[in-house]
Amino acid sequence: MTWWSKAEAGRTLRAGAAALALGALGVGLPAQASPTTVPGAYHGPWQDEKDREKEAEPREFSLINYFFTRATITNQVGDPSGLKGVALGPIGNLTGSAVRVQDAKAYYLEQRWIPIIEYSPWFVDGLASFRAQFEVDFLWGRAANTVQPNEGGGFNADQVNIQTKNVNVAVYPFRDPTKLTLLIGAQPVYDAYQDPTRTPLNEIIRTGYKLTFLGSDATGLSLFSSYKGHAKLSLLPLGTAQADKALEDDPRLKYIWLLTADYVYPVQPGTNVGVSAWGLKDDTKGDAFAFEGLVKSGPSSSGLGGFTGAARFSIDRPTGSVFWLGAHFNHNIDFRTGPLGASGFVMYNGGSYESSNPETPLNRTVDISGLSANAEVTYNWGRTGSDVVTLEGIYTTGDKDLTDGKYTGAFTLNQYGLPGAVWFNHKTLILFPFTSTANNYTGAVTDISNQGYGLQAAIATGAMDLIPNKLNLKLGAALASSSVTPPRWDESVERGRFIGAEVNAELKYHIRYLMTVGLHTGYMFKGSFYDGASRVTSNPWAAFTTFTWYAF
Amino acid sequence: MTTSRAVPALLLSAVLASGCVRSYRSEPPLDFQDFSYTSLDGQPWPLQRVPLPKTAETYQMASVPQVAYVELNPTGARTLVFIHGLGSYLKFWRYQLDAFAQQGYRVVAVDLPGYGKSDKPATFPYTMEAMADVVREVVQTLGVERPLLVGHSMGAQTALSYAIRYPEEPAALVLTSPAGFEKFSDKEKRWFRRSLTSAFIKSSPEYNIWGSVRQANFSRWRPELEWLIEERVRVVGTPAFDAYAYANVRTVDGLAHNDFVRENLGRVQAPALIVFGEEDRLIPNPFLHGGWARDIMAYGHAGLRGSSLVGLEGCGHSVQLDCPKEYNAAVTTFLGKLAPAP
Repeated sequence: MTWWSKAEAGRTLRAGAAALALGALGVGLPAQASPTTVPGAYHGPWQDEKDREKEAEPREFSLINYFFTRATITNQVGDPSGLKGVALGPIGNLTGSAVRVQDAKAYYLEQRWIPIIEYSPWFVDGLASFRAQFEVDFLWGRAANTVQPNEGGGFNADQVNIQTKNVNVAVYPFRDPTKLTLLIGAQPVYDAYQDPTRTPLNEIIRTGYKLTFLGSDATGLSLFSSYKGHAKLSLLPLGTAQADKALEDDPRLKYIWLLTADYVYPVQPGTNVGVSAWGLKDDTKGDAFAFEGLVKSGPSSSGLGGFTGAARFSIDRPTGSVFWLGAHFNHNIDFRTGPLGASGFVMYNGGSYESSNPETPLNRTVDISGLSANAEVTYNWGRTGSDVVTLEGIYTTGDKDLTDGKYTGAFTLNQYGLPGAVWFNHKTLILFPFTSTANNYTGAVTDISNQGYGLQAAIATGAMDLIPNKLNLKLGAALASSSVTPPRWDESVERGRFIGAEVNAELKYHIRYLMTVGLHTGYMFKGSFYDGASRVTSNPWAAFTTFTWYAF
Repeated sequence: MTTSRAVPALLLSAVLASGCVRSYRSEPPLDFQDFSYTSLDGQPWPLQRVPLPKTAETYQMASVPQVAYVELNPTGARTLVFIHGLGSYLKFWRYQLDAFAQQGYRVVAVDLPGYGKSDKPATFPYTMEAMADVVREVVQTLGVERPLLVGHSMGAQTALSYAIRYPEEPAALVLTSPAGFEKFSDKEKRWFRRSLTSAFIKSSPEYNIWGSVRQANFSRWRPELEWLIEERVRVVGTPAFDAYAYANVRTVDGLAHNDFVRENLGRVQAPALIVFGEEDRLIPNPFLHGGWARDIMAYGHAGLRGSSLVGLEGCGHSVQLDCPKEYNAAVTTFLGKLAPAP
């Protein structure tokens, strides 16, 4: 941006040198020196036009802190094997986080701190910024200094589990990030078109595919440009079979490459239409890990689906390619041009995996063909942007037989990450996971493929500021079904498609700017989808308190 | 829902959500001097300029600035002086100038330094005290005695600064959604100074301009107000916009640099009307404070002896444009109760 202009940098240097010189002479600078007039021709008009010394100084170093605390009471009890302290995935599964919903209660209090540092020294002259983002998570009362991440907080709770979320450098060849940004390194990777290092998350989750396909961190290269419309190009090696773990006959490093191309055209102020073409190529034969040493990645992974809610394919040691073709739109999402806002997407995913095991008893190939669609309409009925009613629907095709050679459901990056996609803006607490969390991301549906069975869901909310911009009450209701009838949990019990209906209420109070406390509670009437499920015998419910603070 | 139903539903949502918002970004740049200052029926207002040597001397400016003003019905017995708010210009009184001139008032509306068709000197202090001194010098230059000061937002804070420091001069105050009543801590003021830059103003996308104009200021937006968007968008590409952006930065600093007005309301002698929109989205500051506009206005009402407080239902911050009929009626009623001009 222009505030990083050469003149600014030069001025900072000059001001610093002047202060140093005056300081050496024992001369103090007046805090608010009055402008002095200089007699003679030309100088007065020139000074009137150009003397802009009181512009806010650009900051070379900035620190943004995200601090979050959540206390939970729920009857959704996770029992993850291996990933201690982290509960991901859909309720009812026997594996993975193995979240059960029975006559039991879980009480826990968890915290997260994410500091983000950004540094752009003046001598770089606006050409680049360095960023690093770390994460410290802990549960109260859990033993510290264990080998697994995300534990700690008990006696002698000196934390050892700081995690590097990402470290990257942004290069701005034109000194204007909107013209061109090259992002290099470990970075936030979302399925929206904006540069995630410069765009608020709240906007990102409403302006692309809403993180339903891709929403995590990864290492790679990304280009962003808003010079003519908005364009994004990313190349990301998502995972690799490390050399020391590769088979003897395949010692090479094999990557899972993800290439994404997006273009968004601004139709009118606040209204954007975008198209996407993404491709993924996986040569790792199922040997790469989504969680190193514990959970393998890809559609043949025996453990990943239990954590992320994605479908497991009936294929052994697969290599293959997946592509996505999508379109999305967003209109007036912040109600700047009127009270009505909307957003939505349509995404087709196709591709094929082939087994590299010639002796496989499973499918030789699995072909992929699935469709997903989402639409949300919002209406700002009151004085503030939080006086809003919303209606959202999502649909994904399902696969009634996951054992055959054709997969007809949605394919998300939850097939490669833990999680690799998080549908974030659904406004439910239990039917889909409560999004304000440190380590617990569980719900009835945690991937839009709904374990491959497809999804049909509608969510309605109404919210009002009881005190403008201070105290907000939100009430919500949602229901969901699978698109196909899933296989039975118990051979003797018929199973239906209706997943459940949720009612929820949330009360948020803004203590100070960007500092909020909340009370959240939800109850889900479980549907026939769980008939015969031994691990979901009660209606799920949960109550949370939250404290959120963004400080910078 | 099947695929065949989902896709039409999505498209229907898109159609329902689409508005008739026009983009002006590709239109040719429009200089401040080319803004059409006209009455509602398109009649150009007589625009004049006046130099301000006293202001230049008081604030040791590098040269003598000039400000633009419009004067209607010069023979009117009493004079209403209209003072605009932050980021705006005298055209924001479009629904008032002719209306009150037709009621027999002499009407003067001024573009403050940095705004509209006035000079935008970087060396002007842009405090409310300096703004008030500009208004006072214009008033004195035009020979107006006992002006009736009508200010909007920052313009109201300017009018208050005038009335506190020169209590014998204004005959009355019409404080329209006034700034200056809300309390900002020193840290919050520093945050203002640190956050707002000329570059930020200059790089604002068109959608953000809709936000800062329509969303923040209006509750009853109407298509005929779209000139507010068009002029703000098209002026960005003009040479004078840099100076305007800097004036905005300095003025925000000037608005919050002290609590002079807030702490001296009791010194105002002129009768005052506080008129505001109950749906104001800018007062109190939605990010820092939250709450009801009425609570802020009540502070001013309590501090200004004998003042009248009128909240207009369903109206926003730029209440004179948002709800001109109700606003003009409230002001007319107030002016009608004043003692006749000597």
